Amino acid sequence: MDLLTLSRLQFGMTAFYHFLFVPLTLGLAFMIAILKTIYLKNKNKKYDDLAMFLMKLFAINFAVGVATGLTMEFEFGTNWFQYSKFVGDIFGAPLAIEGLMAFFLESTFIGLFLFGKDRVSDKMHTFAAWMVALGSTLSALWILIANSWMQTPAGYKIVETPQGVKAVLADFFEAVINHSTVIRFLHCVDAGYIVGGFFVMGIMAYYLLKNKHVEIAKIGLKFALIFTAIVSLIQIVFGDFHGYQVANTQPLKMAMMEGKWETEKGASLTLLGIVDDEKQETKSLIEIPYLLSLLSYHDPNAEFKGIKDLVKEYQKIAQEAKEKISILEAKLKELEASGAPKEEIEKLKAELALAKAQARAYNITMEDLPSVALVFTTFHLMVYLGFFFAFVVLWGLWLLRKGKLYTNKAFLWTVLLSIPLPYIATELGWVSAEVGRQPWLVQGILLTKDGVSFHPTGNVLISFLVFTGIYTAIFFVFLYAMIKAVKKGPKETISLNSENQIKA
Amino acid sequence: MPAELFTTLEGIWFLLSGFFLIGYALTDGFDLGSGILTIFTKKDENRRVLYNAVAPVWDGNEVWLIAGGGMLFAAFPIVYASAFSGFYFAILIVLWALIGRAVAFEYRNKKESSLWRKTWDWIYWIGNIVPAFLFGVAVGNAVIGVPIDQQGVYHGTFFTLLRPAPVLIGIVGVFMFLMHGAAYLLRKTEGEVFELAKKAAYIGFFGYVISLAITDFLLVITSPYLYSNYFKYPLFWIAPIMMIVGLILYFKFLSSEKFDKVIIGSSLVTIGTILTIAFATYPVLMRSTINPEYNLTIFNSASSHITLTVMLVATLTLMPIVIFYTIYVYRVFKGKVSTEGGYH
Repeated sequence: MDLLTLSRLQFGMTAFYHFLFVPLTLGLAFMIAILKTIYLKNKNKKYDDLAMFLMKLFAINFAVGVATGLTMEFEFGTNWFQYSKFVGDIFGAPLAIEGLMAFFLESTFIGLFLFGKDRVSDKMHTFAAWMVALGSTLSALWILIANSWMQTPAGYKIVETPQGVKAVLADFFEAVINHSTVIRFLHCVDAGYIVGGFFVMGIMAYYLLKNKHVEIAKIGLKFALIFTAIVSLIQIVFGDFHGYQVANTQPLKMAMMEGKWETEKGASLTLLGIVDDEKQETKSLIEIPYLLSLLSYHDPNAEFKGIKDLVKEYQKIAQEAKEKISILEAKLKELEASGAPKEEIEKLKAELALAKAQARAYNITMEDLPSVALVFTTFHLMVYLGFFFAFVVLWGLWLLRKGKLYTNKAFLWTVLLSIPLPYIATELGWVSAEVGRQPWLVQGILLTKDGVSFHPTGNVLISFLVFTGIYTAIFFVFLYAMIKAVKKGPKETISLNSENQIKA
Repeated sequence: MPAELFTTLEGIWFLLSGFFLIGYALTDGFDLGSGILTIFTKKDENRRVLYNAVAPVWDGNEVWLIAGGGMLFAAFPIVYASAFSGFYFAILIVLWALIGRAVAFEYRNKKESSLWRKTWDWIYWIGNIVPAFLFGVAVGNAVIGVPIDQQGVYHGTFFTLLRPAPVLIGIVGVFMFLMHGAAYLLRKTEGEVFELAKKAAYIGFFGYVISLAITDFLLVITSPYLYSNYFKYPLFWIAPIMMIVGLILYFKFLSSEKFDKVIIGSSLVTIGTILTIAFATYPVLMRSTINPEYNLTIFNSASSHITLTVMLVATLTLMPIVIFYTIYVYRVFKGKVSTEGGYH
């Protein structure tokens, strides 16, 4: 394997593991804070017991989330030297602000929340829960700002320095909002809420099936169902908006997600299909006419650009940028000779640097594309799962109305067995979003192959293997502790918060 | 002092980087230092006290490191890229060790088995002593110099990092954290662990003084350029003086049994040591042994002024809030811990 592949594998693997724990942190923190607030209002001890039980599970999850998250902060530097140099001026800021605004908040109040129950008032303890939830949500916000900038860069200019070409900030707010931050944030955080919702529903269903902790389980199931219903149904709306954004700002990714090789007017949406990367074609088994154009451009007859045409278009952009370089260089010489104002020269230099970056970044061929089958399949599976979640919660709401929620075995088994599904959906969504961004690290200005560190391949192979070993071991310890804690159930945690403390 | 330190954004960010480094060393420093003691007591309940002493705060403390990494990325991206890719295995080993530490906290007590616990205790110990050592090694390499070219690309190996001077600075770091950790435990513990901390405080103190003297002696010979700033800017002497005052106070409080106050000494030592190194290297952040022209200084490696300004505003707005609630949480958990303590 070459250096680039190994570096990508390592980053992908570490991010994959980290992203197993993050969504639950997001969802569970929010749910715990709501439960604590309900308890403050109605003084029903069962709500507090439930919150404290979930807190114990939260702690098990949070520890590994922190541990695996540490890597992410440093891995840009260790393995993506050229990328870090190129984008540090812009990309570093959201990462740093994430630390200041989110990590401190989350990590300081988690200590108070986990160990301070006997030392502070109920109100303060509830406040701590909200601060943990706020911290994790803000963390998602800033890291997604950074990610969104890679997907749809804005508010930057390109400059040449003695140490190489780099992107620098031109407009902070434009860079922060860019074209995809808001919808990506809503979509991702909501996905985390769905993970949390199904996680709690599943565990409560497990207790009802086992006929254990019935009272708490009923409260928990009803609460989690209503919560999950809201977030699952709203996700369909967010998903639609997100798709619209991708279609309009990342057309190549959209074409790969939909498996469209050729340009079509009034494009049909493939519901079920098989993508063949070798033959560069997609066999549609079920498709709905006009729907893709309608969803992508809100016009059933709109033209939907296919992968092959897009690649040709990008090659044209690269060609034009190349031609522009010599023109701009000549103009620059002229300006410098005529002693033009410094501002004008700077502006021209920036234009030249951008042309150089684009001439390289847009010069892509079909060989540079990732596996379209992978992007297509992961994206479609995620969407199916999203609709499945909507179906489950509607079923649950219907049972709730009929008064059969706690006794319907089929439903209880379904939610129990569904615990892993939202996890799978978030990972699938992540794969389709990040593989779909290829061949770029930063769309249109930096190719992934131009971002990597210069390491001996063997070094990255070793680190990849060590990371895989450590993370896999951690994952199994996590599963062991989580399953044990769930089996033990909420009763033991009612007495005190000592369970979370270091105890004999 | 050089005026640029206060009048340019680059200079201010040099000071702020120092602030984050100090924030990390002052807070997670005592976590690392107390964790180093884990394997030096055999009793399970004593080990539990060591975990308990830092359990509610270590996570927040570690954020100083994460935030510091983010700050370096934002303010001096080339240094972030060059140092982290150049010190590849050193950085990764720190990460692996800290990952082990984070997991050990939560999972040590998930199983009633002495083998399980002893395993986690070793992982925890490695998770404390290895970062404590390698942080110093990394800083040492950056200030003494490493083979980096004009692009900031590192041309050495892992073993280039383990030259005598950086290794010595790493050892100084271990003793510095040990001093601080012991001082923290003197405030937080009683009984056997307290006695252990007292011993560790003396070992840390003498270890620090001796290793520092040796390092100083070596550096005068091998890296005289690290001393030139102190001739140029007499006000820089504040830093080493602070360190020496800290050492005196540490020893005085320790020997006169004012155990609650020992931490004042170790805090001053920590701040003084970091500032001494920072002032010695100013304005270089990473020295090149290939060509002095390739040195990464605060001026040629900083981000654009717009980024530095945005980050300055963010830091000045958010850090007071962070410090406010951090102090609040520390106050909630003040007082001694033990196996019985407030936790059962």
